[in-house]
Amino acid sequence: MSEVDPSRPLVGQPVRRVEDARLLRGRGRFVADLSPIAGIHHAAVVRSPHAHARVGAVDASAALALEGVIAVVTPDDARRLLRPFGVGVGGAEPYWPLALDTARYAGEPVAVVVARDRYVAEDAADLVAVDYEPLAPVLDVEAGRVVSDRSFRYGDPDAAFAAAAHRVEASFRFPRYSSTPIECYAVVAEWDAAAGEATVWSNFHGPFVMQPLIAASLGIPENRLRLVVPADIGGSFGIKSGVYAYIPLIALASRLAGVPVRWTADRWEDLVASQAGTDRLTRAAAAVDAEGRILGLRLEILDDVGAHLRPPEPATLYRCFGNLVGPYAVEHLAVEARAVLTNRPPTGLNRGFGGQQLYFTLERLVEMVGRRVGLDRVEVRRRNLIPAQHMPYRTPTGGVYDSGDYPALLDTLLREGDHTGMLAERDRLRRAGRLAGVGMAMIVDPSGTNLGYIDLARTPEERGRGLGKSGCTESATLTMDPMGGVRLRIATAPEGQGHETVAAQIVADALGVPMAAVRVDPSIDTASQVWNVSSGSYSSRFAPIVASAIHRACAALRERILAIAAEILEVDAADLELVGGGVRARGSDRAVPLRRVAGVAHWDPGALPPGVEPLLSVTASFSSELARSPAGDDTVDSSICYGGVGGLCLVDIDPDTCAVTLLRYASVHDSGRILNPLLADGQVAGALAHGLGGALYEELAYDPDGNPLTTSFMDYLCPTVREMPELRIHHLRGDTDFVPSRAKGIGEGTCMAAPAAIASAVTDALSGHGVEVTELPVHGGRIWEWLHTRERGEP
Amino acid sequence: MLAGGQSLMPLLAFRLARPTLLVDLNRLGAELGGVEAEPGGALRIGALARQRAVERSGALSVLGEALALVGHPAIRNRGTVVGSVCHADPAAEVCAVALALDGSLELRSIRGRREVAVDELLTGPFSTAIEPDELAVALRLRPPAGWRWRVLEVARRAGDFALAGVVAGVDPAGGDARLAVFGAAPRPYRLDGPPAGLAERAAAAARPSGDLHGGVAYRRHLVGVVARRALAALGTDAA
Repeated sequence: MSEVDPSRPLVGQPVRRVEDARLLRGRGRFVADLSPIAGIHHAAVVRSPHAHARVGAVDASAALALEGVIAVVTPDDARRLLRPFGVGVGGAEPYWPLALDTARYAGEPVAVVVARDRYVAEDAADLVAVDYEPLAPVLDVEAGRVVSDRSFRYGDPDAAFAAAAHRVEASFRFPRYSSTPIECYAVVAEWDAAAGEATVWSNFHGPFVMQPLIAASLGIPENRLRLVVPADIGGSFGIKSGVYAYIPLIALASRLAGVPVRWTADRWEDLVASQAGTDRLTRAAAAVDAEGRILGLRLEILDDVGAHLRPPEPATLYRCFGNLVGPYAVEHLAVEARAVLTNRPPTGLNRGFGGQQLYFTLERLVEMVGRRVGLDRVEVRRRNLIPAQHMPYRTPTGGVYDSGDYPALLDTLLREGDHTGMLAERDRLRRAGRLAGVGMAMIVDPSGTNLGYIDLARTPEERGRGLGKSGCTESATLTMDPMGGVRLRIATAPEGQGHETVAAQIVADALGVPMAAVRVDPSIDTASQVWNVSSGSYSSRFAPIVASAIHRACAALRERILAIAAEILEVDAADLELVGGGVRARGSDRAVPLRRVAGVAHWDPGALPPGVEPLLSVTASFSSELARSPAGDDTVDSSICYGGVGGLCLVDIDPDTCAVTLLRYASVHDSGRILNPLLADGQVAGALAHGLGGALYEELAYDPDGNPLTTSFMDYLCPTVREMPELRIHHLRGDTDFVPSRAKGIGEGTCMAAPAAIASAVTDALSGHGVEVTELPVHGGRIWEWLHTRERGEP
Repeated sequence: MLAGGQSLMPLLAFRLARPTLLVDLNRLGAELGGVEAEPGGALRIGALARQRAVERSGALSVLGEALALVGHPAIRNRGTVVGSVCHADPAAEVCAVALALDGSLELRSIRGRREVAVDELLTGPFSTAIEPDELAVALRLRPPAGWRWRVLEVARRAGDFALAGVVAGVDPAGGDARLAVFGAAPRPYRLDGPPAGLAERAAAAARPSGDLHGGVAYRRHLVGVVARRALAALGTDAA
């Protein structure tokens, strides 16, 4: 590992994480470690054992009779004291956090027991008698009720298909899976009856657009709902955003019990009733000319959002709308986007949100196009990539790709990923009797979401009638204390990404102070800090958006410091620089330490130059002007930045057991400037593990009655370090002038590319058997069935 | 009875087992923790001997090979060899080794002491002939002299319960072989005989149940694959 050179800017260097000292010693403080208020009682959630059932009488008398039980929240209580969450689109019924009269998935909350401890609460939960009348569940996405349905046309897809030499089509299924963070959902809620206010400590990490939804569900004004999030969250990868749906429920439990209430989900609850990535069926067709250029695409997308259209769904459909064509110069598209209800748990954010589903389809389709016209997987991509000279490139769906050279990315992928070596190893394995394959994927990695994309779920007419939606705003508050120390507050609620480290690097560089002089607080308290509805940790927004807000805050504080120093040094502010913990006149030895500058503002404001505010605290924000609500033609720039990611891999399949092993993976990135290569590479490795999980191991499975089959880590298989391949990571020297940080997100791209790349490699490995991988995960049992179904001549 | 807790604690956490009385044996390490070679070639493994300790002791290489496939080191640091036999998971490697090596379990109660052959002990999935008032104090294994062994399994990930697995042995002359198959029937089963055709017999005897990790036909197929491979690795002409 290369060393950090303190004489150079820290941004761009492999600075070690400041968080690790506490996390590795077990000193992180998570929600379950907090006792923020006295008298906390404990909740256990009573959940429906049926995937679909009428909920009749709920008899809590036996539970209430158990010693130590103080309250039971029933559907009647919820009906009386809560309101359903607002659902953004027309077709779906209101979403209540508790099943009122119908349970729609196995595991849906039906009641909440509050007791003096968790043991008693769980015992009492078993005593709550619920009168269920089971109903037939709907589990097939093609049989489910469509609750959001939109058609889009960009360019002239009919003409493209009419002019095409080839039409290549197939259906693809992307699985429902999670990210299974180590820490599960956790909430402590206190209802203050006197004030009519709720205070909630939780591991909700945003988007804070949910804060008004939670307040509305509780029937209180937003300024009477205080959400607190500690600086440490034990992973999420998007999954924990769904904890918001439990917050009104636990706050209601506190209201009824008259005491603060804690609920900490266990792993079973996490697997059956938290949140999952959306499973998707896509019917796709490509119009292709004789040379293999893709002229147009038709995509019919069916997202299984589970039992409720839980906000922000149907966002999975739209998160990638600006980059729907990936890295390819496709000009004509027809898209049907539908969200469908089934009797499975609700879906939502999961690392790679929308991109995993999109690129699995797109990349499999591109390779099928190649085979149809006789081009290998490299050449068919090369022929369709957007040329570098077209950057910034406006996609037909309205995305504006800020920068990138995709042909160069492809060349680099082949070179740095050792394509030649992988092919040689594949051929050696094949000669030894193995089924081996090489696969690849090229994707565009969106980062810094423009929340306006969600509005595509409404028609232009519907949008025209109401308020538009847009935005990606983040703010940063920077304060210098009397001794020149700096405190940065950001509203990001990181889940382990290392925001404290990277934010401190940026501030240290901008103010010319050592990192140790910068204290970063990324925890959230909506009652006492600056935040907005876009705040939080999602959509790879730290590098492009949050880092840019920090840059702005640094610039504003710097200006104030220089104005004071100019007075002290009697030098024009334009000739001053911040360096070595002080302010110095450029090219001279005239300097003043920061603590003296800060001292003037704090201790002697009377000496401040005229017009300088006596406050060394600034709040600055960043929001891109590109973040606009969708246009009348349904185009939208759904993300502020777009990186380029290539994946190349080698798989080995045992010819007898059909077991698949990922042997090698190469991930090549153009993510703009790299803020910290150590953390960036950690993100890539983690994203690969997540992509590998969806490709070969992880699946939330249900039996024909809708009962969950993957209720523990015995059946829900996350890849471990033993399943991780040899990994090569390479970064192109990238840049972007669309954001002040000049950096794009990096934590999701590999998990968007890897499932497609691995599927490509498995298809290559099974090429002699005519198998085309169109669904995931693939594993020995499934491959054996495919091969043996074919041998027996069955379809 | 709580020894390593690697099966019982999850059962308690999931509220699947709700015993009225729980006896923690863990302070009896001096009495129950030993591993001793006995005259005549048998190995006696005390009820509190941890899987990891036995694995690293090198006391019996076939057992070490099987234990290396049990979960992960953190699990084996606590899990016990005897506990695994008492739990009687159909996919447990240790039960298959005990079956292959003519193992028996030493049981004690206030009524006295008895020793039950593992073949009679394992009555079905997660069920044994141990009486409610009995405490398993040791497992006795009787490896036949001069035999060589190999343990092979197929699992979706390293450390998972096997989709199919086999403990295979061959005598010094190579004319006699033995298979104990696990993960392929309600309890492990054993086949003895000349190596030729033994793998096919093993596959034919499999009674696997299918789940999302593999169907019935696939799992039966895997029994044949691992049995053939293990016998081939032992230098027999199993094909």
